[in-house]
Amino acid sequence: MKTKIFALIILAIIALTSIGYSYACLNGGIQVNCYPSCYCNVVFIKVRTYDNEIEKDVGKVYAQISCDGGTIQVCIDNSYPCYKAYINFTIKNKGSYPVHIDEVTIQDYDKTALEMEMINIIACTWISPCETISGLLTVHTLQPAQECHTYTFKVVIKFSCQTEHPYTIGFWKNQFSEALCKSGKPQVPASTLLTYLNQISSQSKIFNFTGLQKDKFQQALNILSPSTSSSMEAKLKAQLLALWLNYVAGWTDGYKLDGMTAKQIIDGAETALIKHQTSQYEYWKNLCDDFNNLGD
Amino acid sequence: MNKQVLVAFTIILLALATTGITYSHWIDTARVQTTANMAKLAIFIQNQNTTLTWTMSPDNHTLELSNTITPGQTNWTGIIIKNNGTTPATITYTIATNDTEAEKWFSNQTYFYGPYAEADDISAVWDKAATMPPSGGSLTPPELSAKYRLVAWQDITLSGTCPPDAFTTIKITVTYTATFHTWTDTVYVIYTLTYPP
Repeated sequence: MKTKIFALIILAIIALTSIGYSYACLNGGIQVNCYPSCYCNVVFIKVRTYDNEIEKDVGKVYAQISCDGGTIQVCIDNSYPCYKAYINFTIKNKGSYPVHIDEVTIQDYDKTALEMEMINIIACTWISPCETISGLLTVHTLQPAQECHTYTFKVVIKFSCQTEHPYTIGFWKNQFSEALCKSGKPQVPASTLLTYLNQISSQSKIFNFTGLQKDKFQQALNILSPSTSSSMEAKLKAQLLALWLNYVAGWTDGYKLDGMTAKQIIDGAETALIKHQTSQYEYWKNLCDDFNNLGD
Repeated sequence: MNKQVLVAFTIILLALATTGITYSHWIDTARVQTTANMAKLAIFIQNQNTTLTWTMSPDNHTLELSNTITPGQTNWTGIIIKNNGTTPATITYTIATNDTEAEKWFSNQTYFYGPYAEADDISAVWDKAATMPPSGGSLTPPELSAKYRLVAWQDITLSGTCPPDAFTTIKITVTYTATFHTWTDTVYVIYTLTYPP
Protein backbone atom coordinates (compact mmCIF):
# COMPACT_ATOMS: atom_id res chain seq x y z
CA MET A 1 0.00 0.00 0.00
CA LYS A 2 2.80 2.40 1.03
CA THR A 3 4.67 1.59 -2.17
CA LYS A 4 1.64 2.52 -4.23
CA ILE A 5 1.29 5.82 -2.40
CA PHE A 6 4.97 6.67 -2.94
CA ALA A 7 4.69 5.73 -6.60
CA LEU A 8 1.65 7.96 -6.94
CA ILE A 9 3.46 10.85 -5.24
CA ILE A 10 6.47 10.48 -7.52
CA LEU A 11 4.25 10.31 -10.58
CA ALA A 12 2.41 13.41 -9.40
CA ILE A 13 5.72 15.28 -8.89
CA ILE A 14 6.94 14.30 -12.34
CA ALA A 15 3.64 15.27 -13.93
CA LEU A 16 3.55 18.64 -12.17
CA THR A 17 7.21 19.31 -13.01
CA SER A 18 6.60 18.46 -16.66
CA ILE A 19 3.59 20.74 -16.84
CA GLY A 20 5.54 23.57 -15.22
CA TYR A 21 8.56 23.00 -17.45
CA SER A 22 6.40 22.93 -20.60
CA TYR A 23 4.63 26.10 -19.58
CA ALA A 24 7.93 27.82 -18.81
CA CYS A 25 9.40 26.78 -22.16
CA LEU A 26 6.33 28.11 -23.93
CA ASN A 27 6.82 31.44 -22.18
CA GLY A 28 10.49 31.94 -22.90
CA GLY A 29 12.31 29.42 -20.75
CA ILE A 30 13.13 28.80 -17.15
CA GLN A 31 15.02 31.29 -15.02
CA VAL A 32 16.02 30.59 -11.49
CA ASN A 33 15.27 33.92 -9.87
CA CYS A 34 16.49 33.87 -6.30
CA TYR A 35 14.73 37.05 -5.29
CA PRO A 36 15.56 39.91 -4.92
CA SER A 37 18.23 39.77 -7.62
CA CYS A 38 20.94 37.31 -8.32
CA TYR A 39 21.08 36.17 -11.87
CA CYS A 40 22.69 37.08 -15.14
CA ASN A 41 21.14 36.25 -18.46
CA VAL A 42 21.90 37.72 -21.85
CA VAL A 43 20.19 36.35 -24.93
CA PHE A 44 19.48 37.15 -28.53
CA ILE A 45 15.82 37.99 -28.83
CA LYS A 46 15.46 39.11 -32.42
CA VAL A 47 17.25 38.71 -35.73
CA ARG A 48 16.41 40.06 -39.15
CA THR A 49 18.33 39.71 -42.39
CA TYR A 50 18.44 41.53 -45.66
CA ASP A 51 20.87 42.15 -48.50
CA ASN A 52 21.98 44.76 -51.00
CA GLU A 53 20.22 43.28 -54.03
CA ILE A 54 17.78 45.61 -55.72
CA GLU A 55 16.93 44.16 -59.13
CA LYS A 56 17.93 40.52 -59.20
CA ASP A 57 17.36 38.18 -56.32
CA VAL A 58 20.41 35.93 -56.54
CA GLY A 59 21.91 35.64 -53.07
CA LYS A 60 19.98 34.68 -49.98
CA VAL A 61 20.62 35.19 -46.30
CA TYR A 62 18.81 33.43 -43.48
CA ALA A 63 19.30 33.57 -39.72
CA GLN A 64 17.85 31.75 -36.77
CA ILE A 65 18.27 32.11 -33.04
CA SER A 66 19.04 28.91 -31.16
CA CYS A 67 16.61 27.64 -28.55
CA ASP A 68 18.81 28.84 -25.68
CA GLY A 69 19.13 32.31 -27.22
CA GLY A 70 22.92 32.13 -27.12
CA THR A 71 23.64 31.65 -30.80
CA ILE A 72 22.49 32.99 -34.13
CA GLN A 73 23.01 30.63 -37.03
CA VAL A 74 23.42 32.57 -40.25
CA CYS A 75 23.38 30.95 -43.67
CA ILE A 76 24.32 32.93 -46.75
CA ASP A 77 23.50 31.07 -49.96
CA ASN A 78 24.55 31.74 -53.52
CA SER A 79 26.83 34.61 -52.60
CA TYR A 80 29.00 36.35 -55.17
CA PRO A 81 31.44 39.28 -55.37
CA CYS A 82 29.84 42.54 -54.20
CA TYR A 83 27.03 40.72 -52.40
CA LYS A 84 26.39 42.18 -48.97
CA ALA A 85 24.37 40.37 -46.33
CA TYR A 86 23.13 42.29 -43.32
CA ILE A 87 22.25 40.57 -40.05
CA ASN A 88 20.42 42.87 -37.69
CA PHE A 89 20.04 41.41 -34.21
CA THR A 90 18.92 42.44 -30.77
CA ILE A 91 20.46 41.35 -27.49
CA LYS A 92 18.53 41.65 -24.27
CA ASN A 93 19.79 41.58 -20.73
CA LYS A 94 17.14 39.41 -19.13
CA GLY A 95 19.04 39.21 -15.87
CA SER A 96 18.91 41.43 -12.86
CA TYR A 97 22.51 42.60 -12.98
CA PRO A 98 24.12 44.91 -15.52
CA VAL A 99 26.15 43.05 -18.08
CA HIS A 100 29.40 44.23 -19.55
CA ILE A 101 30.47 43.46 -23.11
CA ASP A 102 34.08 42.49 -22.54
CA GLU A 103 35.10 41.60 -26.03
CA VAL A 104 33.75 41.28 -29.54
CA THR A 105 35.86 39.08 -31.78
CA ILE A 106 35.42 37.84 -35.29
CA GLN A 107 37.24 34.56 -35.28
CA ASP A 108 39.64 33.66 -38.04
CA TYR A 109 38.21 33.80 -41.56
CA ASP A 110 39.39 34.28 -45.13
CA LYS A 111 39.94 38.02 -45.31
CA THR A 112 40.65 37.87 -49.02
CA ALA A 113 37.13 36.64 -49.68
CA LEU A 114 35.02 38.25 -47.00
CA GLU A 115 34.89 41.56 -45.22
CA MET A 116 33.07 41.82 -41.92
CA GLU A 117 31.82 44.78 -40.01
CA MET A 118 30.06 44.83 -36.66
CA ILE A 119 28.14 47.99 -35.84
CA ASN A 120 26.88 49.00 -32.39
CA ILE A 121 28.10 45.98 -30.47
CA ILE A 122 31.38 47.18 -29.06
CA ALA A 123 33.52 46.16 -26.17
CA CYS A 124 33.29 48.08 -22.89
CA THR A 125 29.57 48.70 -23.28
CA TRP A 126 27.16 48.10 -20.43
CA ILE A 127 23.71 46.61 -20.85
CA SER A 128 21.41 47.38 -17.97
CA PRO A 129 18.84 44.88 -16.74
CA CYS A 130 15.92 44.67 -19.18
CA GLU A 131 17.83 46.84 -21.64
CA THR A 132 18.16 45.76 -25.25
CA ILE A 133 20.84 46.70 -27.71
CA SER A 134 20.84 46.13 -31.41
CA GLY A 135 23.80 45.27 -33.56
CA LEU A 136 24.35 45.01 -37.27
CA LEU A 137 26.73 42.52 -38.80
CA THR A 138 27.61 43.14 -42.43
CA VAL A 139 29.17 40.38 -44.48
CA HIS A 140 30.64 41.65 -47.72
CA THR A 141 31.78 39.16 -50.34
CA LEU A 142 34.92 40.42 -52.04
CA GLN A 143 36.12 40.05 -55.62
CA PRO A 144 38.58 37.20 -54.98
CA ALA A 145 35.89 35.00 -53.41
CA GLN A 146 35.92 31.62 -55.09
CA GLU A 147 32.96 30.08 -56.86
CA CYS A 148 31.35 27.04 -55.25
CA HIS A 149 33.34 27.59 -52.08
CA THR A 150 32.06 27.60 -48.53
CA TYR A 151 33.39 30.15 -46.06
CA THR A 152 32.62 29.96 -42.38
CA PHE A 153 33.30 32.29 -39.51
CA LYS A 154 32.13 33.03 -36.02
CA VAL A 155 31.54 36.25 -34.13
CA VAL A 156 31.93 35.80 -30.40
CA ILE A 157 30.62 38.36 -27.95
CA LYS A 158 31.97 37.86 -24.44
CA PHE A 159 30.05 39.17 -21.47
CA SER A 160 30.68 39.50 -17.81
CA CYS A 161 28.16 40.21 -15.13
CA GLN A 162 28.34 43.08 -12.67
CA THR A 163 27.57 41.20 -9.48
CA GLU A 164 28.06 44.22 -7.27
CA HIS A 165 25.43 46.88 -6.83
CA PRO A 166 25.08 50.29 -5.21
CA TYR A 167 24.62 50.32 -1.45
CA THR A 168 22.34 52.47 0.65
CA ILE A 169 23.27 55.36 2.86
CA GLY A 170 22.84 53.05 5.88
CA PHE A 171 25.48 50.70 4.58
CA TRP A 172 28.01 53.52 4.26
CA LYS A 173 27.16 54.90 7.69
CA ASN A 174 27.93 51.49 9.14
CA GLN A 175 31.29 51.38 7.41
CA PHE A 176 32.39 54.74 8.79
CA SER A 177 30.94 54.02 12.23
CA GLU A 178 32.93 50.80 12.47
CA ALA A 179 36.03 52.53 11.14
CA LEU A 180 35.65 55.07 13.91
CA CYS A 181 35.30 52.18 16.41
CA LYS A 182 31.78 53.07 17.25
CA SER A 183 29.45 50.40 15.97
CA GLY A 184 28.50 48.35 12.91
CA LYS A 185 29.96 45.47 11.01
CA PRO A 186 32.63 46.54 8.48
CA GLN A 187 32.68 45.26 4.95
CA VAL A 188 34.94 47.92 3.50
CA PRO A 189 38.38 48.26 5.14
CA ALA A 190 39.28 51.63 6.63
CA SER A 191 42.16 52.07 4.20
CA THR A 192 39.75 51.63 1.30
CA LEU A 193 37.32 54.11 2.81
CA LEU A 194 40.12 56.63 3.11
CA THR A 195 41.07 56.10 -0.52
CA TYR A 196 37.44 56.63 -1.52
CA LEU A 197 37.20 59.90 0.43
CA ASN A 198 40.46 61.15 -1.09
CA GLN A 199 39.17 60.33 -4.57
CA ILE A 200 35.92 62.15 -3.86
CA SER A 201 37.80 65.16 -2.51
CA SER A 202 39.81 65.42 -5.70
CA GLN A 203 36.83 64.96 -8.06
CA SER A 204 33.90 66.56 -6.27
CA LYS A 205 32.96 70.23 -6.38
CA ILE A 206 31.04 69.85 -3.11
CA PHE A 207 32.95 67.54 -0.81
CA ASN A 208 36.43 68.14 0.53
CA PHE A 209 37.57 65.92 3.37
CA THR A 210 40.49 67.31 5.34
CA GLY A 211 42.59 66.42 8.33
CA LEU A 212 43.61 63.03 9.60
CA GLN A 213 41.87 59.80 8.68
CA LYS A 214 39.71 60.00 11.77
CA ASP A 215 38.68 63.56 10.93
CA LYS A 216 37.79 62.63 7.39
CA PHE A 217 35.73 59.65 8.53
CA GLN A 218 33.89 61.79 11.06
CA GLN A 219 33.16 64.43 8.42
CA ALA A 220 31.79 61.73 6.11
CA LEU A 221 29.71 60.19 8.87
CA ASN A 222 28.27 63.56 9.79
CA ILE A 223 27.27 64.23 6.20
CA LEU A 224 25.75 60.75 5.90
CA SER A 225 23.69 61.19 9.07
CA PRO A 226 21.27 64.08 8.64
CA SER A 227 18.42 64.19 11.09
CA THR A 228 14.80 64.10 9.98
CA SER A 229 14.59 67.81 10.69
CA SER A 230 17.66 68.61 8.61
CA SER A 231 17.37 70.80 5.57
CA MET A 232 16.81 69.37 2.09
CA GLU A 233 20.34 70.50 1.26
CA ALA A 234 21.76 68.31 4.05
CA LYS A 235 19.61 65.36 2.94
CA LEU A 236 20.74 65.83 -0.66
CA LYS A 237 24.39 65.96 0.40
CA ALA A 238 23.94 62.76 2.42
CA GLN A 239 22.52 60.83 -0.53
CA LEU A 240 25.01 62.46 -2.88
CA LEU A 241 27.95 61.35 -0.75
CA ALA A 242 26.59 57.80 -0.61
CA LEU A 243 26.29 57.86 -4.40
CA TRP A 244 29.84 59.21 -4.69
CA LEU A 245 31.07 56.36 -2.50
CA ASN A 246 29.23 53.81 -4.63
CA TYR A 247 30.63 55.46 -7.72
CA VAL A 248 34.28 55.48 -6.66
CA ALA A 249 33.88 51.90 -5.40
CA GLY A 250 32.86 50.90 -8.95
CA TRP A 251 29.51 49.59 -7.76
CA THR A 252 27.46 51.84 -10.00
CA ASP A 253 29.05 50.53 -13.22
CA GLY A 254 26.43 49.42 -15.66
CA TYR A 255 23.49 50.78 -13.72
CA LYS A 256 21.23 53.52 -14.98
CA LEU A 257 18.28 55.30 -13.46
CA ASP A 258 15.85 57.17 -15.67
CA GLY A 259 18.42 56.80 -18.42
CA MET A 260 21.14 58.47 -16.35
CA THR A 261 24.38 57.01 -15.08
CA ALA A 262 25.56 57.61 -11.53
CA LYS A 263 28.08 60.18 -12.73
CA GLN A 264 25.42 62.11 -14.61
CA ILE A 265 23.27 62.24 -11.49
CA ILE A 266 26.26 63.28 -9.40
CA ASP A 267 27.06 66.08 -11.83
CA GLY A 268 23.43 67.21 -11.89
CA ALA A 269 23.15 67.21 -8.12
CA GLU A 270 26.43 69.08 -7.65
CA THR A 271 25.42 71.68 -10.21
CA ALA A 272 22.15 72.22 -8.39
CA LEU A 273 24.04 72.67 -5.09
CA ILE A 274 26.63 75.02 -6.59
CA LYS A 275 23.97 77.16 -8.25
CA HIS A 276 21.77 77.02 -5.14
CA GLN A 277 18.83 75.70 -7.15
CA THR A 278 16.91 74.90 -3.99
CA SER A 279 13.79 73.90 -5.88
CA GLN A 280 15.81 71.11 -7.50
CA TYR A 281 17.30 69.69 -4.31
CA GLU A 282 14.51 67.25 -3.59
CA TYR A 283 14.50 65.98 -7.17
CA TRP A 284 18.24 65.25 -7.09
CA LYS A 285 18.05 63.88 -3.56
CA ASN A 286 15.40 61.40 -4.66
CA LEU A 287 17.41 60.40 -7.72
CA CYS A 288 20.53 59.81 -5.59
CA ASP A 289 18.44 57.90 -3.07
CA ASP A 290 16.81 55.74 -5.72
CA PHE A 291 20.17 55.01 -7.33
CA ASN A 292 21.66 54.02 -3.97
CA ASN A 293 18.75 51.65 -3.54
CA LEU A 294 19.10 49.92 -6.93
CA GLY A 295 20.68 46.95 -5.21
CA ASP A 296 17.66 46.35 -3.02
CA MET B 1 11.12 -1.14 0.32
CA ASN B 2 10.60 2.29 1.82
CA LYS B 3 14.34 2.94 1.60
CA GLN B 4 14.35 2.09 -2.08
CA VAL B 5 11.47 4.45 -2.70
CA LEU B 6 13.22 7.20 -0.77
CA VAL B 7 16.43 6.68 -2.72
CA ALA B 8 14.53 6.80 -6.02
CA PHE B 9 12.66 9.88 -4.87
CA THR B 10 15.91 11.61 -3.88
CA ILE B 11 17.56 10.71 -7.18
CA ILE B 12 14.65 12.18 -9.12
CA LEU B 13 14.73 15.36 -7.06
CA LEU B 14 18.49 15.71 -7.55
CA ALA B 15 18.14 15.09 -11.27
CA LEU B 16 15.46 17.74 -11.58
CA ALA B 17 17.48 20.18 -9.51
CA THR B 18 20.58 19.54 -11.61
CA THR B 19 18.59 20.07 -14.79
CA GLY B 20 17.29 23.34 -13.45
CA ILE B 21 20.71 24.57 -12.39
CA THR B 22 22.26 23.56 -15.69
CA TYR B 23 19.50 25.20 -17.68
CA SER B 24 19.65 28.41 -15.74
CA HIS B 25 23.44 28.69 -15.98
CA TRP B 26 24.34 32.05 -17.38
CA ILE B 27 25.43 32.29 -20.99
CA ASP B 28 28.68 34.21 -20.86
CA THR B 29 29.21 34.32 -24.60
CA ALA B 30 26.89 34.91 -27.49
CA ARG B 31 27.81 33.73 -30.95
CA VAL B 32 26.90 34.55 -34.51
CA GLN B 33 27.90 31.55 -36.57
CA THR B 34 27.91 32.13 -40.29
CA THR B 35 28.25 29.89 -43.29
CA ALA B 36 28.59 31.58 -46.65
CA ASN B 37 28.08 29.32 -49.66
CA MET B 38 29.35 30.86 -52.85
CA ALA B 39 27.46 30.80 -56.10
CA LYS B 40 28.66 29.26 -59.37
CA LEU B 41 28.85 30.76 -62.83
CA ALA B 42 28.97 28.07 -65.51
CA ILE B 43 27.85 27.80 -69.10
CA PHE B 44 28.30 24.96 -71.56
CA ILE B 45 27.35 24.02 -75.10
CA GLN B 46 24.37 21.77 -74.62
CA ASN B 47 23.87 20.87 -78.27
CA GLN B 48 25.01 21.68 -81.80
CA ASN B 49 23.35 21.65 -85.20
CA THR B 50 25.74 21.76 -88.13
CA THR B 51 26.55 20.15 -91.44
CA LEU B 52 30.27 20.53 -90.82
CA THR B 53 32.47 17.87 -89.29
CA TRP B 54 32.49 18.49 -85.56
CA THR B 55 34.05 17.39 -82.29
CA MET B 56 33.06 18.50 -78.80
CA SER B 57 35.48 18.77 -75.91
CA PRO B 58 34.70 16.54 -72.90
CA ASP B 59 33.70 19.55 -70.79
CA ASN B 60 31.33 20.80 -73.52
CA HIS B 61 33.17 24.10 -73.65
CA THR B 62 34.72 23.88 -77.12
CA LEU B 63 33.03 22.88 -80.35
CA GLU B 64 35.50 22.35 -83.18
CA LEU B 65 34.16 22.42 -86.73
CA SER B 66 36.08 21.67 -89.88
CA ASN B 67 35.38 21.47 -93.58
CA THR B 68 36.37 22.79 -96.94
CA ILE B 69 34.82 25.97 -98.16
CA THR B 70 34.26 27.32 -101.63
CA PRO B 71 33.53 30.86 -102.88
CA GLY B 72 29.94 31.87 -102.19
CA GLN B 73 29.40 29.02 -99.74
CA THR B 74 27.35 29.65 -96.58
CA ASN B 75 27.57 27.46 -93.49
CA TRP B 76 24.89 27.81 -90.83
CA THR B 77 25.81 26.40 -87.44
CA GLY B 78 23.54 26.41 -84.43
CA ILE B 79 24.47 25.91 -80.80
CA ILE B 80 22.53 25.83 -77.55
CA ILE B 81 24.30 27.52 -74.66
CA LYS B 82 23.01 26.60 -71.24
CA ASN B 83 23.60 28.51 -68.02
CA ASN B 84 24.34 25.66 -65.67
CA GLY B 85 25.34 27.90 -62.77
CA THR B 86 23.39 29.49 -59.95
CA THR B 87 23.69 33.11 -61.03
CA PRO B 88 22.36 35.00 -64.01
CA ALA B 89 24.85 35.58 -66.80
CA THR B 90 25.37 38.30 -69.35
CA ILE B 91 26.48 36.77 -72.64
CA THR B 92 28.79 38.51 -75.07
CA TYR B 93 30.57 37.16 -78.12
CA THR B 94 33.58 37.97 -80.25
CA ILE B 95 34.99 36.59 -83.50
CA ALA B 96 38.67 36.38 -84.33
CA THR B 97 40.73 34.68 -87.01
CA ASN B 98 44.34 33.67 -87.36
CA ASP B 99 44.63 35.29 -90.77
CA THR B 100 43.79 38.96 -90.91
CA GLU B 101 44.46 39.13 -94.65
CA ALA B 102 42.08 36.33 -95.53
CA GLU B 103 39.33 37.27 -93.10
CA LYS B 104 38.20 40.13 -95.31
CA TRP B 105 36.73 37.55 -97.69
CA PHE B 106 34.43 36.25 -94.98
CA SER B 107 31.20 37.62 -93.65
CA ASN B 108 29.12 36.38 -90.74
CA GLN B 109 25.81 36.89 -89.06
CA THR B 110 24.77 35.69 -85.63
CA TYR B 111 21.21 35.50 -84.32
CA PHE B 112 20.14 34.73 -80.77
CA TYR B 113 16.92 33.18 -79.51
CA GLY B 114 15.67 32.82 -75.97
CA PRO B 115 16.13 32.58 -73.09
CA TYR B 116 14.34 29.28 -72.70
CA ALA B 117 13.70 27.12 -69.69
CA GLU B 118 14.75 23.51 -69.96
CA ALA B 119 11.15 22.42 -70.43
CA ASP B 120 10.40 24.94 -73.18
CA ASP B 121 9.84 23.68 -76.73
CA ILE B 122 12.55 25.22 -78.92
CA SER B 123 12.06 23.10 -82.01
CA ALA B 124 10.82 26.08 -84.06
CA VAL B 125 14.17 27.79 -83.69
CA TRP B 126 16.24 24.67 -83.60
CA ASP B 127 15.74 21.47 -85.55
CA LYS B 128 12.39 22.34 -87.21
CA ALA B 129 13.13 25.89 -88.25
CA ALA B 130 11.20 26.79 -91.42
CA THR B 131 13.86 29.25 -92.64
CA MET B 132 17.46 29.87 -91.93
CA PRO B 133 17.97 31.85 -89.83
CA PRO B 134 14.76 31.12 -87.90
CA SER B 135 12.50 34.12 -87.55
CA GLY B 136 12.43 36.19 -84.37
CA GLY B 137 16.13 36.26 -83.76
CA SER B 138 17.99 39.05 -82.05
CA LEU B 139 21.40 40.42 -82.89
CA THR B 140 22.32 40.71 -79.21
CA PRO B 141 22.42 37.79 -76.79
CA PRO B 142 19.73 37.74 -74.09
CA GLU B 143 20.43 37.85 -70.37
CA LEU B 144 20.59 34.23 -69.30
CA SER B 145 19.10 33.36 -65.92
CA ALA B 146 20.34 30.37 -63.97
CA LYS B 147 19.37 27.05 -65.63
CA TYR B 148 18.11 28.83 -68.75
CA ARG B 149 19.48 28.38 -72.25
CA LEU B 150 19.73 30.25 -75.50
CA VAL B 151 20.01 29.28 -79.14
CA ALA B 152 22.61 30.93 -81.35
CA TRP B 153 22.67 30.54 -85.11
CA GLN B 154 25.69 31.76 -87.02
CA ASP B 155 26.54 31.70 -90.66
CA ILE B 156 30.02 31.93 -92.08
CA THR B 157 30.05 32.89 -95.74
CA LEU B 158 33.01 33.06 -98.07
CA SER B 159 32.74 35.78 -100.70
CA GLY B 160 32.06 34.59 -104.24
CA THR B 161 34.94 36.78 -105.47
CA CYS B 162 37.56 35.29 -103.19
CA PRO B 163 40.67 34.63 -105.29
CA PRO B 164 42.01 31.04 -105.33
CA ASP B 165 45.25 31.95 -103.61
CA ALA B 166 43.68 34.04 -100.81
CA PHE B 167 44.44 31.39 -98.15
CA THR B 168 44.75 27.68 -97.68
CA THR B 169 43.39 27.20 -94.16
CA ILE B 170 41.83 29.68 -91.80
CA LYS B 171 40.87 29.26 -88.19
CA ILE B 172 37.90 31.31 -87.02
CA THR B 173 37.28 31.38 -83.29
CA VAL B 174 33.93 32.54 -81.91
CA THR B 175 34.07 33.18 -78.18
CA TYR B 176 30.90 33.32 -76.08
CA THR B 177 31.57 34.74 -72.64
CA ALA B 178 29.22 34.64 -69.67
CA THR B 179 29.82 37.35 -67.10
CA PHE B 180 28.47 37.92 -63.62
CA HIS B 181 30.28 40.62 -61.66
CA THR B 182 33.93 39.61 -61.88
CA TRP B 183 33.27 35.98 -62.62
CA THR B 184 33.39 34.72 -66.20
CA ASP B 185 33.00 31.47 -68.06
CA THR B 186 33.61 30.97 -71.75
CA VAL B 187 32.71 28.55 -74.50
CA TYR B 188 34.27 28.44 -77.95
CA VAL B 189 33.22 27.51 -81.45
CA ILE B 190 36.28 27.05 -83.61
CA TYR B 191 35.99 26.74 -87.35
CA THR B 192 38.91 25.32 -89.30
CA LEU B 193 38.12 25.94 -92.94
CA THR B 194 40.24 24.74 -95.83
CA TYR B 195 40.19 26.50 -99.15
CA PRO B 196 40.93 23.96 -101.91
CA PRO B 197 43.31 25.15 -104.68
